[in-house]
Amino acid sequence: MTDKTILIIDNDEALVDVQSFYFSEHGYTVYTALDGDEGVELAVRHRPAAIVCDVIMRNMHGFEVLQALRRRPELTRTVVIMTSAKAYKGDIARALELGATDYVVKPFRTDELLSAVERHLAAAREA
Amino acid sequence: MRLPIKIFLACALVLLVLAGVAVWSLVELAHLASAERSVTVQTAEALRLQVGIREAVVEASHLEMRNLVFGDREYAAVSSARAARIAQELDRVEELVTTDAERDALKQAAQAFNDFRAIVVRARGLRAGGDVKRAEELMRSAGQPIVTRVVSTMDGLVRLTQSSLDRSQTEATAALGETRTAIERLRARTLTAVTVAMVAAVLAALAGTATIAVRLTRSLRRLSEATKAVAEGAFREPLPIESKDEVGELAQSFNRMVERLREIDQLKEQFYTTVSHELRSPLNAMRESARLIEERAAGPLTAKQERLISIMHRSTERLLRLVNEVLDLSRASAGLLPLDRGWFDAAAVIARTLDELRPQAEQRGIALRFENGTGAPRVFGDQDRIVQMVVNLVANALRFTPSGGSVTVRVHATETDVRVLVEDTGAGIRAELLPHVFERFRQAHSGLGGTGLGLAIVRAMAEAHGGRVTVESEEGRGSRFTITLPQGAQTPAPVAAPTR
Repeated sequence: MTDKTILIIDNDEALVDVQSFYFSEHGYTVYTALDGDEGVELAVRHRPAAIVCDVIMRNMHGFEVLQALRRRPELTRTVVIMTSAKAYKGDIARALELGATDYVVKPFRTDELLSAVERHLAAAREA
Repeated sequence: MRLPIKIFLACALVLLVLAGVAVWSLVELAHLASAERSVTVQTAEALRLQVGIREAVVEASHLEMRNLVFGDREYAAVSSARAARIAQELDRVEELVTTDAERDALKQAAQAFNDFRAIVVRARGLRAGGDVKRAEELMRSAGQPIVTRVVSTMDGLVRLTQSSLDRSQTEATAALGETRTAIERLRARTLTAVTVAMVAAVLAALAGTATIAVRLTRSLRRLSEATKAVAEGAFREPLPIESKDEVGELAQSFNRMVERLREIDQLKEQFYTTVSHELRSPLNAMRESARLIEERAAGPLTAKQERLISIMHRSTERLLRLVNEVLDLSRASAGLLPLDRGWFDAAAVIARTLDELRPQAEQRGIALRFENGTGAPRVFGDQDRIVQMVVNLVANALRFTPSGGSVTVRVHATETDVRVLVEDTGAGIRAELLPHVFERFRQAHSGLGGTGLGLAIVRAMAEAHGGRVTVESEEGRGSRFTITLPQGAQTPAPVAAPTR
């Protein structure tokens, strides 16, 4: 597991492209998935250091993806940041309960997402 | 059961009770009329016959005497006929007399009369043999005393029957008295029965109609409550169908209607969710890309590139805001605005919001002030939406207030509500435009930016919270917008639950 790998899971292709560009520019190896199934598969195959996953997705809900990720022993310590346009306290609490590292409300600035990822990766390294 | 049938049955119950009382009264009267009539009539008839017989016997003996003396055959025939009739009438009297004494007397009379007839036969025999003298002698010596015996026996019988008649008349009088009492009693009883029946019938009718009315009212009230709830956007459980009458049918139709509305509501909600997602996603990506380019995330820019990308960034920003506003407004007017309600201190939240807007105000040379009237006004609502309302009103105020002016936001709580006032010293709104400022795309001042939806959104948000927004303005002096939100534990109108 290298430190600078990230998996972005989101139905929104344009957003995934923007984030992918930005993280690549900052030296990351970026994997992208447009739905939950693919995301879980890529996560298992590449074991990225960080995963950014949208909550509201077709086919597989973000929370299901989160649960599937946390069920894999090799992914229990991976940084998983959930993103969502919904800022309901209940949703945030539920995500953290299911093992999310953080919850970022959309729309966010890509540089803010990058700093959140780096902060959590640094914290994970220290732990 | 249909409603008219139910009402008819309630009335029929009353009629049935009344008919029952009428039939009972008639039966009682008929029974009374047939009592104690025969005895008196019968005895009087016996008396009449007895007197007749007594006369007839005397007459018959006279006729027979003449027959014997004159040998007139006509007299003989009449005498025989009379004797036969007397015998018949004696039989008839036997049927009519009532006491044993009368019967004994009658038997003696009949015996004597038979003896007389025997004498007559013998006398006629003598006469036929030509011995008129002896025949006459026989009649005189043997017949006459027998006739006297018959008469005296009949007299005795008449006395007996007379006294029996007297007795039965006395009895009849007593019976009449009894009958009067019975009639009186019957009258009283009928009156009581009719009164009781009337009261019972009226009570039954009242109970019947009251039951119908209560059930009807209850069903209608339930229906009305459910209608109100649906009108407020809450789709509850279907109404229970309690009867098969028109009200039951109405409830059934209502349930079908609510089901259909629920489906339409879901479709609408789905539509808004899809559209908002599909429109916002690419716009967000565009805005973010433009911003990243502007911030040199993709390398250095020439001055011309920077100018163009800045136009793109601002336009995307504006378009995204417009899309958001249109969607919010559509959802709000469809009653689908998701509200994430909670208790919060409106003063603190508004103060923070104003801090964020202050740089913008300073840039325009406008003083942005905040005044908290009464401590911590608590509001139960969606904090973000309330911030959005304040931002819209303050942004509006800043836009229409010239440099050097001021915008003041005041919060104060009354007993029933929390009020947020946004006052400016700006251009004000013309009186004729004032009633329309909360309508969509109605701008009092064009060319100063804004989407024309800001105030419409403020109104929709306020209403979604069970509150309202009002405006006062004087052209050239400034405007004052007031948001009024319900305060305290009162539950606002049910609005569609937060969607995900």
